[in-house]
Amino acid sequence: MDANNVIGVQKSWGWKVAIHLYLAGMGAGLYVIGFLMDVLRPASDFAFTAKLSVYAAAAVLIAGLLLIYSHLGNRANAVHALSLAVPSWLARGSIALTILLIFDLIQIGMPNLNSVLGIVTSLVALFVLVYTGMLLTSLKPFQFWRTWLLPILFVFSGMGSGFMLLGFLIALYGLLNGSVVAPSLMPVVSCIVLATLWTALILIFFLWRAYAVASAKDSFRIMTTGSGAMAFWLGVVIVGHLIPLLLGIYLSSAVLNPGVTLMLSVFVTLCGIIGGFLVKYLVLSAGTSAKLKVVGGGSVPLPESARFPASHRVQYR
Amino acid sequence: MTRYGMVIDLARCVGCDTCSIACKAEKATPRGVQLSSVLKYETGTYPKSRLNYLPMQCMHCAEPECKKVCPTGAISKRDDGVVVIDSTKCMGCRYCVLACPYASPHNLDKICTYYEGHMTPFEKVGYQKHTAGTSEKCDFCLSRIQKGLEPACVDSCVAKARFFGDLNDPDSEVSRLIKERNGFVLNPEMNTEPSCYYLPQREVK
Repeated sequence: MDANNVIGVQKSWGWKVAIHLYLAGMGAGLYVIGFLMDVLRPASDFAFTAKLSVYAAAAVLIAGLLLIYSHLGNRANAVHALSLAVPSWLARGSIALTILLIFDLIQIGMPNLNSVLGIVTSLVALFVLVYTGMLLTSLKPFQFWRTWLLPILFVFSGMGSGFMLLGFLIALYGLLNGSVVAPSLMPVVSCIVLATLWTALILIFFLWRAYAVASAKDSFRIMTTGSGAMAFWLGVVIVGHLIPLLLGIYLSSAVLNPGVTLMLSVFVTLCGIIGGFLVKYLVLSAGTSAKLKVVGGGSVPLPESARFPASHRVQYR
Repeated sequence: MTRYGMVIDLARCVGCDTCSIACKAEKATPRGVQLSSVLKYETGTYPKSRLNYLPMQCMHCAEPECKKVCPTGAISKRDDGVVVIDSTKCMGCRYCVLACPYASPHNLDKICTYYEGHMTPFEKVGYQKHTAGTSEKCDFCLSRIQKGLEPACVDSCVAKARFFGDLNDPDSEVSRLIKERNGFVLNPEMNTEPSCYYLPQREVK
């Protein structure tokens, strides 16, 4: 293989970390949504929907934590990550996720979320949403991730994923109980449309910036025209954003048969869930590290190590 | 205070990989793990093309990115400047592998032997130093420098291209070489302040 024409991408963090980041964002988003529903209560069944959010958040957070635990090479030392003595974003996120899960489980048994504990938990959940992006943004060698747009993208993606799962659960529950459309479903669908729109806009800015920055362009190409192209255009753009956006607008405005409404809602939310995951997975897998710059010797790809596959690309000065 | 550092003369390096093998022998690293390696890359176009060699190992940075991102505090910087990983604390998250601009840490997913289903006597003794699932990297052969010896890669270099010493001592050989021969570090824009310097190659006429 020609060493001058193959791009090296990071291989240390794969699907397990991608799913963990996705579930962490979804779980945190679900809690924030549940808290806001409990506080605002714009529809009669929002108390029930808020409770459903809290339950779903717990399940998703447990799954996310178990997955990242299974990714570790030496799990016995994982407890050291709960130390506050280090400035690592992974340590901060681990502590925040643990606190969020514990507080969430406590509130499953409480009548409502509108309390001091609820407010504190919401703030922790917001921190978790930011952590999912900061984990990558703090890595200096990866210019693709070194932008404030990434944490913002992951925050909106997390909230959007939360709405998607909640909408899916409400619609599925309705389908299984005689095609009854819950009053909270349409507001959730409207929020899905808004979240999808915002996520799409931020994603466009994120990719635009990647295209404009020379050292991030390789990652942009991997995502849009390289090995990630099909997953990006089909999975992220069409399935993950266009379908939820267009069908969501249609669902919100049209008067449909309850059965049709519920089935379309299930379809829209499933598409959104798939697309939301693919955004995080592709952003993670497309990360390429900065090449070594040798004075008088051009730029050199990094050595064959735990991070890179066999061949790299060399740049000349 | 001592700050250990290394200087590698790219004008003398012949890419023989003796340093890589010496490191492997000293550290008894498993199959597939190379804490010190030599990159080979081409510059220029034919007929004025050139094969270059770039020895790589941990840069023992003054501001190590690996230490900043380590969630368990397993990575620390000693008073003498050597950056070490404590395998009794490492949980194998691979965050340091991603954070290092020089790809120095290696994660030992599993310890692979050189011969399938069989460990040589050397491997039986040597592999006891490694913990599967943790990250490892060059530590400037700490056990050797504590005895007053030089790291194995420096000691074994056949072209005398590697130098080791105290960067904080202006009269040391490493400090003198950096000053006289315009020593440089790789990717200074990362602001990690590596302790490994390189001396420029000779110009191609």
